Order: sequence, then structure tokens, then C-alpha cells
Amino acid sequence: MLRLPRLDVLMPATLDEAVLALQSPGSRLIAGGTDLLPNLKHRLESPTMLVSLAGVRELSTITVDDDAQELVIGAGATLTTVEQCPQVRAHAPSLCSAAGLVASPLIRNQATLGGNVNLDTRCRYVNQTDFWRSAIGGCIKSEGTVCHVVPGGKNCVAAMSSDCVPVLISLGASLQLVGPNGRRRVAMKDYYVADGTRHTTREDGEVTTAVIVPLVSTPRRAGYSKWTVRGSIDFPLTSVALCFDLERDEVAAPIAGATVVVGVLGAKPRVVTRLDEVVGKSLSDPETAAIVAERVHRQCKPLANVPYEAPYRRQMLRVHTRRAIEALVADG
Amino acid sequence: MALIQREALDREDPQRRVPIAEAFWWAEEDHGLLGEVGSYNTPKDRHGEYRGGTIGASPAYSFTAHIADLSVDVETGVTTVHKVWVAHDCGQALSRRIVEGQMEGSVYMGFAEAIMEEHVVDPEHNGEHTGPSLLDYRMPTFLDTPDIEALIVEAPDAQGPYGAKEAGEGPLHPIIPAIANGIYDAVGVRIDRLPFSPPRVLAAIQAREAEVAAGHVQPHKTNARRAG
Repeated sequence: MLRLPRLDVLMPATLDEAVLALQSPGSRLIAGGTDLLPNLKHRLESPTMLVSLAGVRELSTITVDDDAQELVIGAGATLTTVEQCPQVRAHAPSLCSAAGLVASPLIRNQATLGGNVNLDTRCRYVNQTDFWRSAIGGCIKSEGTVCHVVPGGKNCVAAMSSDCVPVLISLGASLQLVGPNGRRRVAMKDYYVADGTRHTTREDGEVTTAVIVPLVSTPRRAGYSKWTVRGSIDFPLTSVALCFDLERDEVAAPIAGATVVVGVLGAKPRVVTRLDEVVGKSLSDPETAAIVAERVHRQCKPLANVPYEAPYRRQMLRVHTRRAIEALVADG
Repeated sequence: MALIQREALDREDPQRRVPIAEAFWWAEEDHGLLGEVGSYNTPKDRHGEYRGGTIGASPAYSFTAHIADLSVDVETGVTTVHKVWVAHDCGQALSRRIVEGQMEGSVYMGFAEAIMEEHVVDPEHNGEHTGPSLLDYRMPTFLDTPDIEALIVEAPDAQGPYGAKEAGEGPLHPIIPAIANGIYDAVGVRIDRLPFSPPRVLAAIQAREAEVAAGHVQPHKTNARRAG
């Protein structure tokens, strides 16, 4: 049995108290805990005090700000809440799909959106017991100095494995962060960096308080494709978020803009480039799906950081991208 | 006294009745534990000298047949098993519910072995097991498990206890070849290593397609229906 290390837990009632508590050395934020607690049992982090957000009620509201034209989702909203929220479904249906595909129902009842966007990167050589890791001497992200995924590699390539992050980037979302120096807002496409040991630009003392999705008045079709071996529980093995702005509200309409974001590569989600070629083409034109799938396949190179062969997953990116677009077209 | 519909009643005066559990409590208060101890040993030297022949196997072999309804995605190599029918001759079924449970459990475990479970050690990393937890060692969830229909076939064996044969490992064995045959029937490839994982099945499909393109083998019957 894997046990938690001995540590203190603080339950602040307000955000200000939480931010203050995070300034003491050795403290670490915990929300749903579904990512953090297994990592603590695996001895991947060693905080001495957890600052729980469970008592901070102001973080779980979901509102539509009509003036700013934004959907504001409190970071403490559970993934089940996000999946089932009518406002999220109306304005960001692909986020509902992604939230509803994370892990299992029990985990989604506990896990928060703020936790999911800050999900630590994962690697088959890291997310194991410390006993298992000791047999290979650890790695850059744990106790060692080498990388087992990229031999000779100096940079950690643990995989960004959140289902919601690629979708949120594809929707142009930002994060609201609050820290000792006040609040700031950062576009999610700029929030992640290509370093698996520290893959976000969040400062230690900062708390993610909200995920903000801009509302659009123009027609749009957005979707999320996740492939895993099992129908539940697993982290994604391929993960593609797609968002198409259309000139009219029908799938035969020409595309006005396309954003495709791919996860589970390295530590940073990849925003697929050179999609201009499909602008002006109809979404339902099979050539559109073929072009986008080809771009994804060419630009995205999965690594051996998660199970299942990387070349197979790369082939599957092409198939699943094309199928995701076909599904959007079939849904009308 | 008669035991009818969870009640114990007096045959002479059926109005006198109590719940069965209460009747048993009274009886055990008066007479101690109501039980009988018995045992059954398999006949000795039934199976000869070979390795494993001394385990005390059932005197009669059981017989099992499986039918698997499945589909194979030719673009991803994913095999989806929709339904399994398992017919098992267990001799006399001493408890039909337990026999059915054994059969369903056997199908589940064999199906899991066929589709996803795998023990892999990594020689490049000191022989570490690559699936040391229930996250990385994947077992099917309810969503992955096919519908299972268990059909008990009773052909009692005179040598077995009350005519029973067995319902342990026997009902597991045919599911792996049934799925392998189903994959062959669907896409024309023979997979002879477990598990029939998507990369392995896809590689076999693509190798066969290359053979077809080179004119070495005929297209499989369903290739004509392949989606574009």
C-alpha cells in the first residue's frame, strides 16, 4: 500500500487567506487532489503543508459576463459540473466533451477545472512508485539527471496530458491568476512552456482562480478527439482539439478560421500551423479533413513518454483528426 | 414442517409460520450448528506421469465452446468485441448461478488477455515491468467488456461429485482463439501473439495490404467494403 507522507493541511475560507498561506515555505496548493495525491504517494513532490481550496466558495461559480462577452468558469468548478453546465454547453460544447472524457465519473466529481489546466506533466518513467524509479536511477523530472525517453536529452519531455487544455487553447481561453503581487490574466496559448519539470508560467505563490472563454457571435463548430485503450479511467494517448469558425451556420459553409491544438506530445500543447489553406473551403468538403489531418500528422511527433508506440500514435493522429472533422460534419 | 417462500410453516397447521431465518435460529439454539462435513477427492493416477498430472484434476474433462461477435477497425487496428456466447459442459451444475458466474468471469479474463492485458519487462531499463500499477496494467472496464451470454450444458459424469465435471479454468480457454478467428474472419490476418493490441493488428492489416498490392495474396472479402 502506498501511503501519503506526513503533512499539515490548511483550510482557508477566502482566496486572500489561501494566497497568504501559500507564501510560507513548503506549502503547496490542493484542490480536488486527484492528480496531486497519487503524485505525493509516489513521492514526486514533498510539500510540508497543503493549502486546500475546498473551503474557498468564491472559486466554484460559472457565469456569463455579457458586457465583456466572456464565459467565466471558476477554477474550483468540478469537471462534472463543467461537463453538465448548460452555460458551458451553450458557449463551449467542445469543453463539455473534453471535461466529460477525463478519467472516470468518480474522479470528475472530485477534480476541478483549475486543477486540470495545471495537471502536472506525465511520463511512464516518472509516474511510478519511488521504489520502481529507484531501479532506473530516476530521471530529470524525479531523482535523476538523465532522460529515459530521449536518450542524451537535457530537457524533460513529460507529456501534457490534460483533456481540457487543448480544447481551451483552441477556444482562445485565458486564465485568471491571483498571487501576492495581485491578479493577472494570461492567454492559455502562452501559459505552457516546453519543459516537463515546470511546464507552466504560474509562479509558486499564484492561484488559478478562473478559466475565461471568449464568447463568439459568429457560427462555429468545435470538437475534441481523445483516444485511449479503455473506455474510461485512462489518460489520453492521442488528444486533438479542433475549432472552426464558419461564414454561415451550416457545415457546408466556407471556413473563416481554423484552430487545431494537439496534446500528449511533449510538455507543451502544440498549436498546429499553416491551416490557412482550408480557410475559404467548406468544412464538409472531404479535402478539408484530409488537409487538416495531414498538417497534424506532419507537425506532431508523439514521443515514447506514454504507453503505446509513438509511431502508431502518430499514424493515429491523422486518422482521429480526420474522423473528428467528419463527426462535426455529421452532427450538422 | 415445510420451507416455502422464505417462511417455515407447520404442515398440519399452515397458519403457524415464522420467517425461515428465525426457524433456523431456533433449531441451532436447540441442536447446535446445522451442518454436515463432507469431502470429495479426485481419483488417483488418473492423468499419468506428465508434468502437472498430479494436481488432482477432475476425472472428466469439461468442454467449452465460444462464439465472439466482433469488429475490427481497419484504420486503427482496434478490435471491438460486441458479444460472447459461452456454452460450457460442466457435468451436473451444482449451483447454476455459481457456474454462470465462473463462465462469465472466465470470458472476461480471457477477453482481457486477448485484447489488452500484457506483462512487458523493459530490457533497456533494468528489466522493469512497464505496467506496475492498475493504471499502466490495463484491465477492461465495464465499458470495454462485451455482453456475455452463458449457456450451461449439463452432461453429468458418473465419476464426478454428484455428476459434476468442472467450471474453473475450462470456460476461459476458447475465448482467445475465438477472438483470433473473429479477427481473421473480419480482416484476413492471423495474429499469433497476445494481446491483439491495436498497433499489432494494424501492422498485420497493413502488411497484408502490401501483399495484396504486390499481387501475392487475394484481397480479403471485407476489404471491398472499407470506408474511404
